[in-house]
Amino acid sequence: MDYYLLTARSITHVQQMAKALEHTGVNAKIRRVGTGVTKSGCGYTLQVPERQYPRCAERLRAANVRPVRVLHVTGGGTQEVPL
Amino acid sequence: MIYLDSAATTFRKPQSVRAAVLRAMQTMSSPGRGGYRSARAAEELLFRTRSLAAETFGVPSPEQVVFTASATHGLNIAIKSLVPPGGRAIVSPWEHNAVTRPLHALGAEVSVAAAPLFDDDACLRAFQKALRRGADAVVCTAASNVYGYALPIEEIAGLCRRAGIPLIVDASQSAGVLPLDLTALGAAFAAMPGHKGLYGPQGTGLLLCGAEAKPLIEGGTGSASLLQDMPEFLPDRLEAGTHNVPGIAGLEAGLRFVREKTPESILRHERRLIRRAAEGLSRMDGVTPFISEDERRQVGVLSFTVAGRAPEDVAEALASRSVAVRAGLHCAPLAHRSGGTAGTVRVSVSAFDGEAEIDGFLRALRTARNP
Repeated sequence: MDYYLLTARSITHVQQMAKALEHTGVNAKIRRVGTGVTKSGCGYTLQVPERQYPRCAERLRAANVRPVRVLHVTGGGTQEVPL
Repeated sequence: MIYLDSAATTFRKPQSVRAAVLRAMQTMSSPGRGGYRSARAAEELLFRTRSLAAETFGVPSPEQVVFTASATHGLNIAIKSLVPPGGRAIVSPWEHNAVTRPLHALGAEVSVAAAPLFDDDACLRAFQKALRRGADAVVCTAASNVYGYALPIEEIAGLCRRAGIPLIVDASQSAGVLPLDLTALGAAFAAMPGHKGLYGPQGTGLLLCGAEAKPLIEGGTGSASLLQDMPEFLPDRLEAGTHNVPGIAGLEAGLRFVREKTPESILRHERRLIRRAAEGLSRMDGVTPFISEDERRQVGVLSFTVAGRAPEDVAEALASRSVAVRAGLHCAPLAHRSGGTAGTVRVSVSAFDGEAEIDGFLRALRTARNP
């Protein structure tokens, strides 16, 4: 299944994003990730199902809690996209 | 035992604090180090506590709430972030060694905004004058740990903002009883212990960050591990090593206890007890309590002296009658120089004390003086 990964500075940052998405119906999952995703090693991302991403992005913009990067992960590969 | 040394540590803790510490030890491991259940439970605790502290103390984001081991730890970070070696700082006359020793270690030129005890107008004039010369930072306690004097911190913050000089607030004796809003103050930092007015365990503290901070120690953060420099972002930048998870669990429960009771009602209660103690002391020959005539300028801390008796002797005599008070300089020699004392006996109260404790202390002091 295709999904989006929203990378965070820290566990606290990813928790802030998850908190902003509470009660929005977005099924966001905190995942610990490594250098393949973060470049600087050991980090956290929020995984969001593809179909829920527009609602997620809208909510994060409104809450002014922005991820470091947004990666669109599909069967065909991974692509960085703007929030 | 009658325990009246809450300015050092609130010894009696809410049951919820003790339960939270135990629960954390049974269910939580290292936060920010794994994706398994016990690590996640610890991470959620930290985030809840940061969020609660941010909401309580007017901090824009939980990322700006840093866990420390004590107020001293937080003050060291704050002072060493703002004052370079050989720099210049302005302090109030009521500062603790947690402020003056780091400044001394930096070789800083320290200007004391000297003013008489409990005199707000003189205090503000002194800060105004000192600020004209400029400084790298102002460090000011919100309440004296010796005399319980609640300084006009909002007005001092206003003077600092207008002068463009960053303010570090030492909230050691005020957190949990006096309001503190980091954003409204425009303060660079505020440091507080967890184990006093927030009713958490010893070994906990909070540093609220409104300015860029430098790490005091370096180490693992569970983030950006390929980099050998500490992360640039908060709170990781200032939190190397594994957190005191049981302590933070207790601190969260303590914060909730304070919010539920409300700082205003705790302060009212403590002021009433301190007034009662001061009235009793002032009826004893040769005993001098130091208390503000304006109740709003006092927290639940009261110093007194006994003519012809060393404070330590008085405290020892009280201890032998199962009354715990503190005696001496209270780690604040500057405050004693400023207040004209060479040591005092200090009584300090918490939400758990009542009139019975104060009356018991006064009875014990009478018999200690006339055995």
